[in-house]
Amino acid sequence: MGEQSPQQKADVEMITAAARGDHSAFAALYDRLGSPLYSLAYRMLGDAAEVQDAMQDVFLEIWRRAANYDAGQSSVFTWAVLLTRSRVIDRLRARGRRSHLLEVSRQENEVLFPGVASTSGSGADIVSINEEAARVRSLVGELPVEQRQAVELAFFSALTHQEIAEQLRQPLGTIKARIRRGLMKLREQIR
Amino acid sequence: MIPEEQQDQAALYALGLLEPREATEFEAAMTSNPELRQLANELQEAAATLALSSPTQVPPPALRQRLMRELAVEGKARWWQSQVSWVSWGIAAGLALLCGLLFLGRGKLAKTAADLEQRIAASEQRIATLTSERDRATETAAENRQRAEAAQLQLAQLNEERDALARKITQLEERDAASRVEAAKLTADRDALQQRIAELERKAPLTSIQVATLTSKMSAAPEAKVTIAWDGARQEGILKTSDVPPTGRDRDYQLWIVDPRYKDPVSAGVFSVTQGGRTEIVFRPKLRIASAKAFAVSLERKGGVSKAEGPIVFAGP
Repeated sequence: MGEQSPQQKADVEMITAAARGDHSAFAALYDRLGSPLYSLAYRMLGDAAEVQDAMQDVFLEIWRRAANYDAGQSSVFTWAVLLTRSRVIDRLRARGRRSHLLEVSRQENEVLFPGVASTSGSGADIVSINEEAARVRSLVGELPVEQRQAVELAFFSALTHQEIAEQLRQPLGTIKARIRRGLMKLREQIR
Repeated sequence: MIPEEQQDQAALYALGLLEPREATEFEAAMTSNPELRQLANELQEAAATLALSSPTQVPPPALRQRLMRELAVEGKARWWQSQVSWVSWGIAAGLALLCGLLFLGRGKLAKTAADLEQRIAASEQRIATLTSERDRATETAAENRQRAEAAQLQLAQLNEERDALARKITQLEERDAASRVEAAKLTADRDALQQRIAELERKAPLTSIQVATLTSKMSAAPEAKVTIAWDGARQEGILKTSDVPPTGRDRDYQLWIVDPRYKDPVSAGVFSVTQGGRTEIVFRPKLRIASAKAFAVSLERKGGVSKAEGPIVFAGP
């Protein structure tokens, strides 16, 4: 981890307080992360009721594992996103939704940049998240199409890299290289 | 400089795409290569930002409330667990002390041992009580949550029922208003007819006035009415209609009077109705009527006929 931004420092303070059992700190953390994590889960699961159950599980796990968070490894946001993604993939696999995944990923190939849904939320957290989301969408949009395709499939679906190669009808090595180049470029852009 | 193959591995690791065995090998490689670890961490950060590229969704407020409720329940459970844990430590400490005392002199400490055994038993009892209370608290919380959900459901149903009743009341009020208008119209008709009867009474004795109400035989207009006031002495009458449907251009209604003296009903003339099904005419039969036993109205061709041909649409009394 490099130097932390003020938001990242605030996130660490919130999760540290939550690890001590501070409910209000955890509520503040929920207000900060609720929308991006919910959006991620919704994009992957596509079912509001299931997303709500998944989010309940994820946030309870964040609460229980807050003391295990290691600020030297990743930011709170990254930790929470990867945890959410992992739990959503567990759900998808447990419920035999492989065919759904393939369908979703095919649709995403067709529409790489779906429109931004209208939001009813308010407050500084949502405004800040929306600004950050707009910036990330713009950065992802700057990636070459084939890299963007490979990276998005790798991140938003539960497909393995072999399955991604099959779906995009490309050699496995090409897919690995596209994922690497895409992520490296994204890393450079967000620095 | 990290080889390209390892960079590929780092990217797949960041996305959780490595097989378990490959992931373990890669983590081992990272422990001896800080540069590789840093790359993997940074790629994970980059991958996580992809979450923000999803179309923005705002979680429902109920989710936050549910989560905080769950947290409150869990907090209580943690507290009970911590209590149980302390009691366990107490037991362990008591046992250690007991062992020490036994080592120093079992004979002298027999009474102390008995006391400690009692304390252990009491502690175990306390553990059982606390565990039971914790379980009860958890169950109560779950029951309360279920009750709250059931109450919300019931409230929603009641709201739906209330809305349905409000709609029904509005419909009934509208019908009531329409009925009042109809009643007022009928009252006005009755008053007018009574007035005409009164006029006729002034002109002729009441005993010679015969009033008949003809009911509709038309299924399409069951409410239509024809009222007749017949003055046998003067050999003339008044016919008044309400809600009678129009006949169309080529047809007329024709009034007939049934007198036993004649084989066929006697024609009393034709009439048509205005918009709204109303009309009022004075009629005189073609032949002298000695006794008007019944009245009827048939639907005939324009201008009427000498002998009824069309369907009887009104009859009475």
